Amino acid sequence: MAYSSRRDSVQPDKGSAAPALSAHGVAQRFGRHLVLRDATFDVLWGTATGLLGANGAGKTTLLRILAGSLSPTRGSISVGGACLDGNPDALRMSTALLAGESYLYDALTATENLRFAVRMTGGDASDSQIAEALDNVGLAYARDRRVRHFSSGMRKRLALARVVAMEPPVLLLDEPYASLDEDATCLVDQVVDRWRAGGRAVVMATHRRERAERVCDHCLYLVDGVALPEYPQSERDGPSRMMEVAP
Amino acid sequence: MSRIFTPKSLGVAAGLTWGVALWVGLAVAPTDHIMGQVQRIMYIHVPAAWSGFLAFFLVFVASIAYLIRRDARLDHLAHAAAEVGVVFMSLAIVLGAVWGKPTWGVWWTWDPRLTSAAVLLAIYLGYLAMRAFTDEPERRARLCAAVGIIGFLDVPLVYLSVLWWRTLHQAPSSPETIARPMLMALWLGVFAFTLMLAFFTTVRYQTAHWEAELELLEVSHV
Amino acid sequence: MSFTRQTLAILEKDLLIEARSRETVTSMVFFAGLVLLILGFALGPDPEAIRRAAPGLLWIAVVFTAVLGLSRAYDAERENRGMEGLFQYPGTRTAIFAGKLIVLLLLLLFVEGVLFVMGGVLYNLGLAAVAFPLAGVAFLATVGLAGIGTLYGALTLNLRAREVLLPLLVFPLVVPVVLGAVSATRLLLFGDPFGELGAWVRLLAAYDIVFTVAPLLAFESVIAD
Repeated sequence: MAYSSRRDSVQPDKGSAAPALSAHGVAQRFGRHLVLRDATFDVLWGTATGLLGANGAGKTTLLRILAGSLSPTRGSISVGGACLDGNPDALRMSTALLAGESYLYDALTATENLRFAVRMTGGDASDSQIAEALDNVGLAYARDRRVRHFSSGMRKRLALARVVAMEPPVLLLDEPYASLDEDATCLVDQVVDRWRAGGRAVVMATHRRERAERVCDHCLYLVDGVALPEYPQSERDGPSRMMEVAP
Repeated sequence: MSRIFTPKSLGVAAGLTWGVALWVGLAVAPTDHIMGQVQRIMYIHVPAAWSGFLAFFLVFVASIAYLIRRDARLDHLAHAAAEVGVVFMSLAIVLGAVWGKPTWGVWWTWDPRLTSAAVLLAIYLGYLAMRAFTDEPERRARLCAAVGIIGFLDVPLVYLSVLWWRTLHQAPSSPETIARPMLMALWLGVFAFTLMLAFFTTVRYQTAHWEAELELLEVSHV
Repeated sequence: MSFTRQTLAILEKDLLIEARSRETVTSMVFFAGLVLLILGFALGPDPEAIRRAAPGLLWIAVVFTAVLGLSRAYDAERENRGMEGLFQYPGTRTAIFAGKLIVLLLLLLFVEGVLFVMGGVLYNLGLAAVAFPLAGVAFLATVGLAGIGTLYGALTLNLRAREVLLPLLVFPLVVPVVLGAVSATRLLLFGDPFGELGAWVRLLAAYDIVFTVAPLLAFESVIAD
């Protein structure tokens, strides 16, 4: 599928050293819970970053912040070296999130869902391009079937096709392996490889540590609201704790 | 808030002013020629309506400020003002009906001001219902700020439409010149009710703050 | 321009979904017909009494039906958290609002068309004679309803008790629209000796401006998912 013009402004610039995304001191507070305390890291072009942590460690929260869906309580995000300053649009322009929820419309067919996503991203897709995208996730046979009748695995495949069709420079995957069979698991890995090979970037949150360490170039470990570059030995058995802050 | 405006001092000031206003309204002001003693309801009815309206304006201002500053205290202020406003506006409407019965012979006429007040009351009861049905504090503050703003923007249009609906081609009845003590009682009442609004809102604001604290405590002990 | 593209994409998507199921339109039309019938019972078999009250009856039916429809208009965005997905597309809040507003407007205008025909027959109103000015009044009234409806549908999208809350919030807000539309319809049907129609039309227009601009601003700063 061709890159859309909107995406061109945030295409990987291999000449520059600026990271695709960088988070600096990002904190997110829900009520009194500080889910993220001080997440500081870079996402580099041409790499896949794994995001590991126990349930409730803040992986989904961090991805939603990177998708521009949630603005952090504190801290800043830069896209391609430029700070956002409260305007999440640059973030939305350069990322797409495969979330726990599929964001699909049950009354529409697989093809119509993909076409809508591409149009909303500012691109244009021909019928053959959409057919190819569906074929890539093994859903060619269900092209004109309504999503209402899809199984959960089929929905997950279609959701993957949706974010891939949006052609984001930075692909955000939240637990991409959940409810997928072996074939589809390989599909996810292929997508990650494609993004990395194309000089783009991937951030993948998962609780499957071995898989992430094998597929990704490097991993971040979310512990106590901080993103650590190494697997924390002392925390090996302890669950991630929710922190309380003074009101 | 500065030291002078503690709930206690506000309460004392409101109580004293209200005492004076009652004395002027009941003892000093003369009995109305046409309506008789019942006209004295005006000294509460009008100030209650005024302060109810002022409270809704406060909700509007606090809601806008919340959307700009995103400070939970501004949301507590909007909440407090809305509750006090609903109480005052209800009082004004009930008193209007009590006044209306001997004057017009019916509890309710579709008088433009009375009808607008009823619609306003309904708008802010909706606002409070919206608050009650939203659990997450930040989200509640955000969504209710919109309801508080949109609701107040409707006020002039509601008043105008009800006014035209009743009396498009006849001038609305204007109050005749009234005796000086009557006017004084009215102004004192307005002043006292404004102080009461400040007092109740401050107390309610404090309670809202504690409620929020409690909510957080409950959440963190699950 | 991306705004137009996105607005059109949302419009097309929602119309396609509605064309597939026809659930919203069918239930709205059916509901409107029932309301007209029941209001007719309330005013008894005296045809003259019904005729006199008809402008009010028609618009009561419209407002009730509109609230029913707008709680359904966002159903598709709730299924798989579609609204959150919409907000992740670049630069779309205004486009989402505009798209949803136009969808609601078209839906309401269509249902009003059917409703006025049914009402004209049931209440014996010669609406055909004033069809064009009436359509203008209906359009002005509906823009305001759709503006309020688009915001409040989104506000209550993920709330519990949404179905109860929506009418509580919307009915008092649309009082000026009801009064304006009822009065204008009455003047159109039964004559306008004092030339009051213009005032009501201006009121409706003012309402439209306030309650498309303000909800749009509120939508941008308030709705997150």
